Amino acid sequence: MDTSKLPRMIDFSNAPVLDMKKALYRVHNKQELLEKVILVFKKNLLEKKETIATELVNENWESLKLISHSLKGSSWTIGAQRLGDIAYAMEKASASKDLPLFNHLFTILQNGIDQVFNYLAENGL
Amino acid sequence: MNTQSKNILVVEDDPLTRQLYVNYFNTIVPNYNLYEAENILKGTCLCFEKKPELVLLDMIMPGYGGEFLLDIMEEGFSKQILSFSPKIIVISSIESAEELMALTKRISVASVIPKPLPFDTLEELVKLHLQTE
Amino acid sequence: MKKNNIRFLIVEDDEMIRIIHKDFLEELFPNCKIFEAENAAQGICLYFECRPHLILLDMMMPLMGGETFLEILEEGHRTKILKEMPKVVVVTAIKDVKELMAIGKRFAVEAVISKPLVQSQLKALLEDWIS
Repeated sequence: MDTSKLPRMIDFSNAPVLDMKKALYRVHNKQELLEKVILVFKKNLLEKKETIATELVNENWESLKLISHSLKGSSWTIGAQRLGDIAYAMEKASASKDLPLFNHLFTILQNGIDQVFNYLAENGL
Repeated sequence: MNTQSKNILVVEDDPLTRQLYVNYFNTIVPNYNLYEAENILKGTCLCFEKKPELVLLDMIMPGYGGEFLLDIMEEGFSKQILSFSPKIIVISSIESAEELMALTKRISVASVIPKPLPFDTLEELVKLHLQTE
Repeated sequence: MKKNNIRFLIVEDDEMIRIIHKDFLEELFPNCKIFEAENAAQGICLYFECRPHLILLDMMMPLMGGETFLEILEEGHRTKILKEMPKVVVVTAIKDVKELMAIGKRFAVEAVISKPLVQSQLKALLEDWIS
């Protein structure tokens, strides 16, 4: 397998970890609503990460595609553009049942999730 | 515990077969109101409107099959949304043991009967299911 | 539709979006009742059990999507089983123009809005319908 052709985190780094302006726009600039939504977002990220790990063992591609699609949607909703872009790549990889690529992207996703959590912590969320 | 609706719903796409079932029910449980649907979408609407005690559901129909209604009922049960709980008897040609097992495991399914319909067995089943309401 | 008795149904698989839509509606109509469904199957159950006046409907959902929800409403209306006319506002991430136009022509669909829904859009739509 030619690992030089696999994507890296830097390929997604043009997109921001989290666009706070976008996030606030989504919630009509309501800080309390933002906090509520972010709490749910964080919980869902951790749950989805676990589910992906399980479904990956069984190579359950339909399920992996649905989860990636959902992850993409919720990340883009809240302005976590980078994470959404990674999830989009995972959605495409699961559509073509590309195990090495999906595995690789999953590692990048996990780093991406850490970045989001760190960013939120730095911003008191 | 919901009040008895005294309604029965038959969901079957073939008009002759459907008429046969309706006539049959009119004979064995004449005190019940009969409703019929030729497709699952109409069947679903009628199921919710009339809240039947019993549903006779053909699994194989053009368009959406019987599992459409089963999926909806199960989502309703799991989220405790439903104000009623019909006994659903599904009619299946039962091609394999796996298929039979899969159907009988579904929480929305009260009984599975084969095609062609064994009317004597159906009569016993119907009376048993309506009694336990 | 009267402001004080209004019932809404949100059919949307993304929990975050459900929270946002619910907040928007509660602020606009403090006395309203809001029901939530994660997919069209739950949506269909809640529609019949609760008879909402207005539905915010996502199209792409696991298990059963918005298309199916609309089909049920259409069939119910066609067969005269459903007497009331709900209003459906589709809120979707679908970008294809032909698809969006086709959705807009469906029974009970009053408006098709691209995600994300903004509160002012909702207000503009609803204040026409709700006294």
